[in-house]
Amino acid sequence: MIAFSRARELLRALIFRRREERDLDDELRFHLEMEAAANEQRGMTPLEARRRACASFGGVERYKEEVRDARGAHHLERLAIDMRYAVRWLRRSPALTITAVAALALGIGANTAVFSVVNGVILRPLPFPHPERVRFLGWDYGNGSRIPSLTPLEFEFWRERSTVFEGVATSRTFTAELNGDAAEPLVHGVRVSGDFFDVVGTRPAIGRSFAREENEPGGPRTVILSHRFWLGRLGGDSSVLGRPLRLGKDLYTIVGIMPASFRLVGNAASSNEVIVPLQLRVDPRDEGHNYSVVARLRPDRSKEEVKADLARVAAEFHAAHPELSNQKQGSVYLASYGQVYTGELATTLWILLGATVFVLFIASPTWRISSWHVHRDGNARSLREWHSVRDALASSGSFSPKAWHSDFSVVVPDCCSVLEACAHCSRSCPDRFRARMRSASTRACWPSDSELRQSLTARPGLRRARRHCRGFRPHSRRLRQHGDTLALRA
Amino acid sequence: MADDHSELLQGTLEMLILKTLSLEPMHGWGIAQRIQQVSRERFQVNQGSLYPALQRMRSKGLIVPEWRSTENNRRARYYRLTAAGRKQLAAERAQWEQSSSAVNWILDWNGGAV
Repeated sequence: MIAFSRARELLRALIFRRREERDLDDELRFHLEMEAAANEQRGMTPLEARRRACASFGGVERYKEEVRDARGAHHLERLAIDMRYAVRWLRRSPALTITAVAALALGIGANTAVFSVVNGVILRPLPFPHPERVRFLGWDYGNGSRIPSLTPLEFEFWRERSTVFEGVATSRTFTAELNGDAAEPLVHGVRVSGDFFDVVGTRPAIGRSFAREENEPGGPRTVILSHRFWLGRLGGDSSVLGRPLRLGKDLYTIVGIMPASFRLVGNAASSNEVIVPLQLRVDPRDEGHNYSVVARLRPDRSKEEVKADLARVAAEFHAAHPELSNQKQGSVYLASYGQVYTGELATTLWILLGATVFVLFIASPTWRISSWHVHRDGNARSLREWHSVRDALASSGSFSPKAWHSDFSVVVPDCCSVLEACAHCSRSCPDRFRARMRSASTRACWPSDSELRQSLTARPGLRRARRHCRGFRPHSRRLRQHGDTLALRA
Repeated sequence: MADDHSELLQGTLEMLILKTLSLEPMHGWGIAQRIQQVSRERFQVNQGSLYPALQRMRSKGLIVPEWRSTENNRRARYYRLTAAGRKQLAAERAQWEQSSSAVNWILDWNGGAV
């Protein structure tokens, strides 16, 4: 209920801003006049009555500002005012503005580009669940030389004997003519071994993954399609399951379709469109390290357990195949994705990212310097003056620095400070000045000539303010002339 | 001066405004006068601070403003209590009585067993 009425009031404050201001002004003026009338009835002179009314009110502008704050829309209004002000200043020096914007755009653009590469390659490389558990297997000869792939025999041995993996899989890419037709664009595919879907942690979105016998040599030929292939070549027809698909000379049965988010990285390029069973035939005489092997670690195994397991399987391997072990020592090693595919590149990428961040760092001060120049060239004096007036008013004790946005929320005895501030504000922020000065309740507390004269001579805080203001010849001349006239009249 | 004009306790201003408005709709200046008179001039409301408080209460839906003529035939913005405002007054009053009686117990305590 309260939230609702708050939102309604905020809306009202935004839409009927002018009317709200007018109402507030009328209300405060009514208050001051009533108070002054009451004071007169107590026997004060009209001037004194008005002065006392304003004094006991305690600063018309200050409380107006607080009311605006309580309305809630004030921050938006301030933002709009500041934006207008900024645009006005930037327009005064288009060349500098363009340079600064270009520098910033370049800095931001370069950062975005490099970061998206870093993000894709280093931070989120594998589009699988728990990519940190995925490892690449390679052969370590023990004398420092390594091959990042295995022979079919080694692959099968570790797949069967090792106990620390949820799955161990290998794959090879291939290309084939769709429907055996040379005129059709080539289909890129990947042949995968049985544990493949366990390793990538992803299953077909539609249909099923490969059955065990389909991955036996000579087993039935089945195929799983990528989402893109299914949409692009087969029109996204869900009745394709069970239908035949001719790849090259062979006829495959479609059994599944992968989710749209799935893509392969590494040796299987992302353009892979079909997945078929590898049907790997293990031949001990095949000593070619042609199979890159990927495995998924079990989440509950420690590093030491993994290491011990690899050593144990290696010992079993050498015992089972002494004829190989004579010429070939070593064991299987594990490498993370980063070690295999980014390696040195990762460092380079980080350096590149650092460099572009540095560019942005340079660009931002350029922006600031140029806006500073705009201030200097354009209206530096008024900015400096405005700040000094603000400080002067703050030092005269009648102006809270917190409310510096509000131009001149000042109590009556400091009428001269108000006058000074107004003289400057009329130049440096004319919109705000005019709007405020038009309000009758503020003018109701405007100092009379005699009060002005008094405070010109009396108040130490005011003298300080005036000293601050003395440097601003062009804008405060009018004020000083005004002061001089008053002095003459006195 | 400081002895007989106390500063208003933090947060009590809204309750006093609610109380004043619960008798009849009133304009800002009238509320200030009423609070000063009824409190026998003990409370010096800083008159300007009334208006931010009124705006806050209005935002919360406790009071509704409306323009009316005074008896001297001047236009003034009167504030009227809403149902939510009445409820709020009752709640704040209950809370005030609770905490002020707690403070009184402590002040009246003469060192004996409670």
